[in-house]
Amino acid sequence: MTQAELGRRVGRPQSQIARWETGRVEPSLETLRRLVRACGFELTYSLANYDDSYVPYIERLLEMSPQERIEDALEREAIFGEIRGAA
Amino acid sequence: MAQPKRLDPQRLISTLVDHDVEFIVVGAIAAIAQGGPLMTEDVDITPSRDPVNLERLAAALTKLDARLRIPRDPSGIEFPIEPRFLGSVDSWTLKTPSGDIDLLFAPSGTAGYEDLRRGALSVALWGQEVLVASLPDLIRMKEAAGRPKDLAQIPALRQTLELRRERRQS
Repeated sequence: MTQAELGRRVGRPQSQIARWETGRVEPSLETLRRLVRACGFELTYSLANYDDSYVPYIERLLEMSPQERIEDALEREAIFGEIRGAA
Repeated sequence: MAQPKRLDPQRLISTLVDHDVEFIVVGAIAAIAQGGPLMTEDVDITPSRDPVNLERLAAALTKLDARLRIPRDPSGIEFPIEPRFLGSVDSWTLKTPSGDIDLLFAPSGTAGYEDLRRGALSVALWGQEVLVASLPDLIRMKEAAGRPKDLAQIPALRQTLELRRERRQS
C-alpha cells in the first residue's frame, strides 16, 4: 500500500504518513489504532514483564563500529562453541 | 569439504562485493552490525532477483565453492550453481569453506530486495560499504517468521532500536 493510499484511508496527507514512517513524528495511540485498522489489522495490547538486562550490553555494543560488533559476536560464538564442545 | 573452524563473514561478504552482487545483509549479522546482542553461525543475505545480478551471484558462489547444506551430510552436496536455477526458488541454505550462507530472496514478511532496500542502511565492513536491513525490517521479518527462536529475539532488537533512536536524538 502506498503512503498516499494509507493517507486517503485515514484522512491524512501523504506527507504526514511519510513523517510517521521515518519516525520523525510519532502518531498518538488512537491514530496508530486507526492506521493499523486501515491496513486491515487490529491493534491488540498485552502486558509483559519489562526486562532491561540487555541494555548495558547493547550500550557497550553501540560504542563499537559495525565491524567491531560482528567481530565481537564471532569471538563470543567461538567461546560458546568451545564450551558446548567441552560439555 | 573440511569443516570451517569459524564463520568468516569478511570473506563471504567481500566475495559478493567483489563480484558486484546487489544484496542486503539480513538476519543476525545485520542485527549485530547495528548493536543487536545476538549470536550467529551463518550469514543471511537477500539478493536482487535481477537476471544480471543472478549471474554475478552464481559467479560469487562458485568462487566460494558453495554446496547445498543438508542435515545428514556435514560436507554438503554439489548442486548446479546456475543463475536461473538460483532465482527459481525463494531460499537456499549453503555451505562454504568460509562458513554457512543462506540466500533468502523473500524473507518472511517482506517482498524481497526492493522492499528491504528502501529502509536499508549502508555500513562500512572490512573496507567496503554494505547494505544491511534496518532494525524495523528485521523485527518485521522475525514477527512474520513466528518461530520461537525468532520471537525470543524481538525484545532485544526493540531495545536496540530504542537505544539507537535515543542516541540520535541526544
